[in-house]
Amino acid sequence: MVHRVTVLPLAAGAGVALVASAITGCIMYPGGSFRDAGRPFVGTRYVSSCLDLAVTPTEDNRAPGRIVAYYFGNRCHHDVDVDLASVRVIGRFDDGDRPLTAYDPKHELRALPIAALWQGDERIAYVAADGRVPATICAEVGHIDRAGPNTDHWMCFALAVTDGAP
Amino acid sequence: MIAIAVAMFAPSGSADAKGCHETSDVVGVEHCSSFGEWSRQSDAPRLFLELAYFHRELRSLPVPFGPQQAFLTTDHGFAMRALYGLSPYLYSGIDLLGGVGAPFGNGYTESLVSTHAIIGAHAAVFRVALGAELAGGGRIESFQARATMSKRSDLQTRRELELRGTATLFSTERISFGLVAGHSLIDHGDYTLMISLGGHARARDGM
Repeated sequence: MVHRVTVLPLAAGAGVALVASAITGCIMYPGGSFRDAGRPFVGTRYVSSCLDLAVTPTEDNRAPGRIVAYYFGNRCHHDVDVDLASVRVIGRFDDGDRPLTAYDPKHELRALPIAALWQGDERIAYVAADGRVPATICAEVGHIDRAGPNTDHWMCFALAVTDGAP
Repeated sequence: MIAIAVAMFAPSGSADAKGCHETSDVVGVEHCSSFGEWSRQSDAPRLFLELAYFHRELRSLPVPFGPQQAFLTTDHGFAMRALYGLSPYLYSGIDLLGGVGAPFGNGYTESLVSTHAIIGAHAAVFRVALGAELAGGGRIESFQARATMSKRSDLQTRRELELRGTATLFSTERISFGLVAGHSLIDHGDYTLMISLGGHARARDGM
């Protein structure tokens, strides 16, 4: 009786541990994959010290201004601070370039840690002071990854995506 | 019940499943979700619910229409665990278990209800969390005899104190699969095994 009581739970636990290990290997974020549970990150890619980042414009008629979607995966084996509040955005209008500000009425935007081998995504709207919507926006994404390299990296989005300084 | 718990803590992309009608997933416009749900330092409470299937082996006292000495009963059933993180690594909560067993041959049935207060600790590495908890409470067992006898039912109550080990695998930020293995600190040989599906309000319970 004692043998059955001790062996069966141990065998079941070992079996579950093996299955869990196999599943974990499949669901952890594989560095460089730019995928979330099999779905690819959408957008222009940028690789920083620890984050695989993809950025793309998106649409939502309930949100103001121009919307940018960020997809990120931490390929490091330690937590990394993701600072989406650091993104600088410029709008290109017919009469020149002007800075846009993130639409954040609840004051939620701040640097937050993402766990090792984990992924996430966010969509942030950017608005001009005068309420006009630019045809092209440029976002500086080089400081999202607090782990570095903390150099400016601009991405511009219009009908055709370009990668470079505004 | 499992579907309800999963829907409550479904990833933000399926906010409608939570019973909240989401209108947008843009920061500042969304109202069923919030910024930073991928982070363990989000503003969400460290609340997690688990629905489990359990297997228990318990020592029961003699019954008038059964064995005249203590005997082992094997029970299977479902459990719900409601837990709250006191800190990133400590948690407390309650559980409720209900199941049935066949204690000694045909013609007899047994049903079981037990509940426990729980205090535990856990820590995570990548997507796997390991922990230990102490569960204290009690159980009510009802034995029924189908055959005609002078006494056809018997009710037993018993205090329970279990030391449990837990293992949790986070498949997403807020959905997990878990295993609980417990051994009684009062009744030698009594044990509990549970396999669970969990929903978590905060990513990885803030660990």
